[in-house]
Formats: sequence, structure tokens, C-alpha cells
Amino acid sequence: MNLRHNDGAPQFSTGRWQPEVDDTFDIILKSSTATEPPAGDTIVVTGTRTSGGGIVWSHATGGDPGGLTGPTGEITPPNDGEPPPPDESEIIITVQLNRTLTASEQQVLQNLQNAISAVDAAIRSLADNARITLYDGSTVTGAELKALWSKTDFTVNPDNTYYGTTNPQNRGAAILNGGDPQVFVNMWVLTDYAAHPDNSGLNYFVGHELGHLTQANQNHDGTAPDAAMRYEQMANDISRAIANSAGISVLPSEGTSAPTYGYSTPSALQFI
Amino acid sequence: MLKLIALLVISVISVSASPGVQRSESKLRSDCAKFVKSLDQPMHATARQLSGDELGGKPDGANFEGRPTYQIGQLRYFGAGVEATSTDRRFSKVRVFADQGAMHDCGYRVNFWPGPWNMLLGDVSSAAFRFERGRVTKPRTGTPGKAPASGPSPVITNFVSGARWPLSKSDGTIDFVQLMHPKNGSSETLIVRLDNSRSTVRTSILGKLPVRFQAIGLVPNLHSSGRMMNLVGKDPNGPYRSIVLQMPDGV
Repeated sequence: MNLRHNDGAPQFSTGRWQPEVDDTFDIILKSSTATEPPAGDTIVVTGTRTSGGGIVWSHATGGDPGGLTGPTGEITPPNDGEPPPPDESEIIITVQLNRTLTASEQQVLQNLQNAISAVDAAIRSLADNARITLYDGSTVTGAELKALWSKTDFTVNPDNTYYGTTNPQNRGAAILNGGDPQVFVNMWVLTDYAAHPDNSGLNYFVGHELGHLTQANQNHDGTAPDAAMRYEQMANDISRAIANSAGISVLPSEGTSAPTYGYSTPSALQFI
Repeated sequence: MLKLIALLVISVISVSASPGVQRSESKLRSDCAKFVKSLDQPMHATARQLSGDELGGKPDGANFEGRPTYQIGQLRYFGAGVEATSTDRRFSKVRVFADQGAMHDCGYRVNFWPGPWNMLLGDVSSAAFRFERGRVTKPRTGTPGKAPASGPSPVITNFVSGARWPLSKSDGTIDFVQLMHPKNGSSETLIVRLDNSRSTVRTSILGKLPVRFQAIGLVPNLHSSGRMMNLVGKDPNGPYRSIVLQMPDGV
């Protein structure tokens, strides 16, 4: 995994990049500001969600099930349509903030890098035929996770970056992006997850977003009762199973660090 | 000279460990030795969903995941809350600490199932407390959730500060949310926010709960507005409670 740069924006890959206190991060969306991206740079969501390719939303709500059944659309990559680099050997984290990061934010990014490294090791250690069975009977295999993970990259955006039109929110999104998965997240979300002990929050976050990219999660029945909750719980279950397979920390099922929507079982699902 | 030193040492020992304290510590060690043998046995429990009324909430006509929500100050409760009790004798030795969450007095963390989110699905089966293996020998340091010994602290008449959790802001600075408890020991919890961005720290009360919660944590709400606030508490000889409140954007 190598350090990469693109359009002047700092990108780093696991194991190499070390944030400096005085680093200032330029934004790829060069005309944007941290607080109010111009309309032309706003990530656009149009189209229809498909199963098995295209779009995966991690942010459906019960009130607006756009990410589950309705139109959700595609997210235009933030580098204005440039094709994403072939990156099976790299995990790229692009930081798109146009202000100086605080020391604690720099530590958060380092911790994100650590979480990605930990999840990377966990996934690499899974046998291709290892599988977990989810609450609805669907399965996720080691081979599927490896295939998705091998191309997944991360982008950290300013806090007021919005995702979606039917359900606009300022948190993040995970998309399949035609087989080159991209995870977008706003800085405050990472900072909040990083507050949990032993990097459990960021480990959870990385695995949760990967969970949304799996076929089982895409095929989830969005019309079922409690669909949104089950959909998110499933991603949580996948995240915890990945972490558990390698003995890395992850948010617990209950208590002050319990993740939103919780888990479907008392203890982690086991890859067998 | 050596005799004098020996006398001093004996004197110090007799002051620091009176016979009563020694008996108490000895009994605790004995009790904990027995307890450790039962670590793998869960404490079976009965659990139920906490209602918005019980938490002092008022119906606000809105909903979350199709469930009616209750306004508690500036926070919202939507039914993700559980109250649990157990007749297992070990349950009386479980307490909730600001920095460690639920722990048995012998130093082992306690996990409960089902969690508050599972209450939304009506899942109260297999309710039990389980102990983590691996004794916690010393408190964590630098871990959110523990009221810091230094730094700004809210001052509210007749209340004392409790657990605290950081709250990140878009400019990279950090505020805090904090629990406060009545000085008279009554079961009540104030949730306050410390606005740390001004030269004078401002405190605002976000909500007031009629029951005791000793631990707090925030997780991002990836799915709708704001954050989710996890609260855990247990009265002495009382039930264990774990709830989730929605903390809307802008609060």
C-alpha cells in the first residue's frame, strides 16, 4: 500500500501517512468551503437503486425509505467524473478539508487508518469459503468480503457535505460505484466514533460500511416491517463478525458505546 | 535504630489497616474468589421496555422508525429503552460507573442482553447479564465517560457533576455533554451541554430524567438527524436501565 496524491489533495494509505500538526488539507472540490459547498460541487443523487450493482445507501430512514426501495441514485464521485484509480493493492483515504485540522482531528485520521489496517488484516485472514449466516438466512462469505474490500476507498469530507436528495443528510454514504466501492464520511462522524475506547468506534464504522456493500444487505427486503432497522442491524452484525474473527475491538451490543440500531444477536456471528 | 524503624512500620500498618478493614477486605477476597468460579454463569433477568411516560417524556406527535416519540427537554425518546432486574444474588453487587459502565464489585464488566434497540423489535427473550472474563484492575485513564478532575465544570445549585462525553463540532473543537446528580442522592438525572467555544463556558440543560443514569456515551446517528445518546444506570438495590435518546442537530 503506497502513499498517493491526486490533484493536490492529501491521500494516504495504511501504514505510511503521518499527519502533522500544521498540515492544511486542500479540498478536491476546489471552489468549496468547509461550511457550505457551492451547488455545483454538491454530491448529486439521482436514479434508482439496484440490487447487485450500482448504488448502496447506508442512510435510509424509516420516515423516508429512499435507500431501501425508492429512488436513491448515484453519487457523483467528488473528483468531477475522473475515473477512480485502479486500486486493488491500495486503500486510499482522501481527506477533503480546506481548513487546518486540530491535533485531535489528526489523531482521529490516524485512528481511522489504524482501523482500516485492522479490518484489512481481519478480512485477509478469512478463508474464501468462510461464511456467516445472517438473521434472515442470507450469507456473507470471506470471498465476497475480500472482493469488495480489495477496491474500497474512503473519502473524508467537510462536515456540511450533504448526501442524497430524497433523504439529504450530512453524515456519509457507501456506494458500490460500479464495482469500485467508495465510502464517504464527514469529519464529525469520524470524530464521534473515535471517542469510543480501543478504536472500537472506527473499527465498527469501517466494517459497518463494508457490510452495506454486501449482496445480502443490498437484497434486503425494504418493504418488510422494521426494514430500516433490520437493514442497519445486518450491517452492524457483519461489522461485528469481521472484528470478532480477528479479535479486534468493536462497539458492544449494549451500554454507552452501543451502535445505533444495535445488533440482532447477543454475541458476534461466527465465520464457519 | 532498626528496632525503631520496625516499630514505626508496625505503627503505620496498624493505622492503615484496622482489624475491621482487614476483616472486610478478607471477606471481599473470599466472596470474589467464589464469584470468579461463577463467571461463566449468566444472571438470568426479566426485562421490559421503558415507556416515555416513565422517563418524564411528553408525546410530541412525531415518530421514529414508526414509533411515537416523546420529548424530554430538547431530547427525544422513541422506545429504545430497557429496564431489567435479576433475582441472582450477584445482581446486588452490580454498579454502573461513569468510566467503566456496569461492573461487578469484584472488578468484572457486565453486559446485558437484549439492549435498548432490541426493545423496538419487542425482543425481551433470553434476557440475561453476562460477565466479561478479564478483571479490570484499574480504571481507564483518558477515556471519555469519566468526569474529568480538571477543566470547566457546570455549576447548578444542589447538583453535582457526573459522567461526561465529548461532542465534536464542525470547526474541529469539542463541547461536552455531562450528567448531573442531585446532592441529596435522589434518583434524578440532569443532562447538560457545556459549550466550550466561548471564553466563558456556557451550560445549557438538555433534559431532565426522573431516574438515575451514571454513564453516558454518544454515537453518530448515520440514519436521521443528530446523534444518539446512550445512557446506563442502576440504583442501589434497584433495576438496571439502559436507554437511547435522540439528540437532534443543533441541540
